[in-house]
Amino acid sequence: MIELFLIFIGAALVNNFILARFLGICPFIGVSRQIDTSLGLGIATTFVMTLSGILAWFMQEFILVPFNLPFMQYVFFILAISSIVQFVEMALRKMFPTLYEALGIFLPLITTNCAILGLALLIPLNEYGLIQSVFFGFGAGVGFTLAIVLMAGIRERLLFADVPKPLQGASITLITAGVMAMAFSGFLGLI
Amino acid sequence: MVRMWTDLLRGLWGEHPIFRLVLGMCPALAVTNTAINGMTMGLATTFVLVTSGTIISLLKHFIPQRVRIPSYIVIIATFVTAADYTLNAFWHDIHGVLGLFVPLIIVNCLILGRAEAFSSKNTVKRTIFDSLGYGIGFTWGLVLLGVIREVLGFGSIFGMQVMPDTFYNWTIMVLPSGAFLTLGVLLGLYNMLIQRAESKNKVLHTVKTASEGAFTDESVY
Amino acid sequence: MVEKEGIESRLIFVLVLIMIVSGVSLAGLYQWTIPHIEAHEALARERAIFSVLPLAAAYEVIETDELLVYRGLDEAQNQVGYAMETRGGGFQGMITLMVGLDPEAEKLTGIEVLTMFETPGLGARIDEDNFKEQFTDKQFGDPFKAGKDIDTISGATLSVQAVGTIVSAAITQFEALKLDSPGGE
Repeated sequence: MIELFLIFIGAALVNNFILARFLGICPFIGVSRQIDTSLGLGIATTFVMTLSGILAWFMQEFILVPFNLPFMQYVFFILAISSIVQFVEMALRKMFPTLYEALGIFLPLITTNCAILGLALLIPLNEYGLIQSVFFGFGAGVGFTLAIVLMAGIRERLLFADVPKPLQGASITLITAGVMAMAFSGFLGLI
Repeated sequence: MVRMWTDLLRGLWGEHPIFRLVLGMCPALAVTNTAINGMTMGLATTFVLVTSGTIISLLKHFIPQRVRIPSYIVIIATFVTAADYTLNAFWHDIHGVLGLFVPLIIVNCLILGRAEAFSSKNTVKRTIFDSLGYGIGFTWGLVLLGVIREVLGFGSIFGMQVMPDTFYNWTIMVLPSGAFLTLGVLLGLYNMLIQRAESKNKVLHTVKTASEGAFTDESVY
Repeated sequence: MVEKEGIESRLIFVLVLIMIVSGVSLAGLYQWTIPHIEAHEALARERAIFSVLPLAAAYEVIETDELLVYRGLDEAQNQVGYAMETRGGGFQGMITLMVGLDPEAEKLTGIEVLTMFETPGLGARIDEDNFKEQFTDKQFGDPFKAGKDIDTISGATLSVQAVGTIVSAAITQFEALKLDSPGGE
């Protein structure tokens, strides 16, 4: 139980996917303008991440290893992720049309969110079991959501700041992220 | 021929993948703490960009519109796996250093972005020039980031000591936050250069942006 | 959006065809590169054994239940120590180490990194000589705490601690094997 908790905290805070592992930077910069949208994207990503973690484990355990197909790992994982994203997209369109509108073009981009493929690849590398994979995927999603929502909060304030023209947009976002990464490195002592 | 040149040059400066389009941020931040890592990553990405672009351009009439994204992803993943195994077999040491970020080339938005926006609509010849341009653009961006971070963080360039012994290494440049800060500042510099060039080219345009700037300033207060 | 059945089956046909072509070409590439990769790995393992057992001129493989242990021999066929392959979790993925042990003096003779997936430039620096050298001549009873017993690499405390934990687990495993140590107690 303690081990699972540590995996969760590790993935969410200490080795935060965005701020410590550099995974999932594109949506972090692209979709962090408003708190509502980033929260929506964060939840959708968390869901996809947890599912991908589980699916990655099953594929590794029941297809790639038994049939000795290590060279198909990348192809299979990315196909699994894009299928899950397709499924989430359809579900969102049916159930939360407003959120679907707001997330717009970024939904298909979840597929090319390297945090998710990174997560899927990290599971066999860490030799996690099924339950561990669930906690790892969920923790990574929570960490992603936390970072992107915090950034959106800061950017909403930044709108009222007098940022020099060349630094506006992605530039100031990255500099802010640098300061956030410094703060997050304080979590290193947690585990 | 002129068109080929514009295809090639576009990715090198005007539409620079990192500084202008802000794509492929993960490898740009993660593997650039030394110049050599940045260069290897850039070249591997260029390889995948050119090969997958060529195949996608060849198959543009064969792949139906509705399954194009999964098809592109499979093609890209295939070439990334190929690059991964080739690196592992023949450049074992560098493969060990880049680790997890070789497979992550698959989800580099730059590659899928070019496949969708260019390769799937243009001839093979133009695609090769376009991909080469973006690949080299990406590579020099990574090398620049790598050089800056390596000089300040380790005091060396491509592993050669350049700073005097008295130089105190800025550890932060090697850490995640240093990556974000360096890239943020570089983006700002790039924007400044581009904006300056634009304002020189078009006086009318400058007047327009200036008035826009005034407008935003007013709206702030 | 009304789709004709013919179009639907064409979609599936194209996707499956691309998958098959991709699978077959990658299988071919795999067959071609894997001997090279394995040769690299075997060479790296052999180099690691001689690096962690500096006195050894030859080695022999010792069969144990799950561990890969090598006995190092000098030119006169005297035993000079053991090398053991061991793995554990790092910051990004599994780290595989070769650990050289001298059961007589109860200390380490060196460590080598075989595989790891740590962050380039940060955690990956556990493979640098400065870092690895500090494990040489460490006593078996050493607590291997990062920052106290092992010097850390800035920005990579977790990777450094992971190496420490793996090494100390390896020592425990090694002692549990109770391999004969001629000239020992």
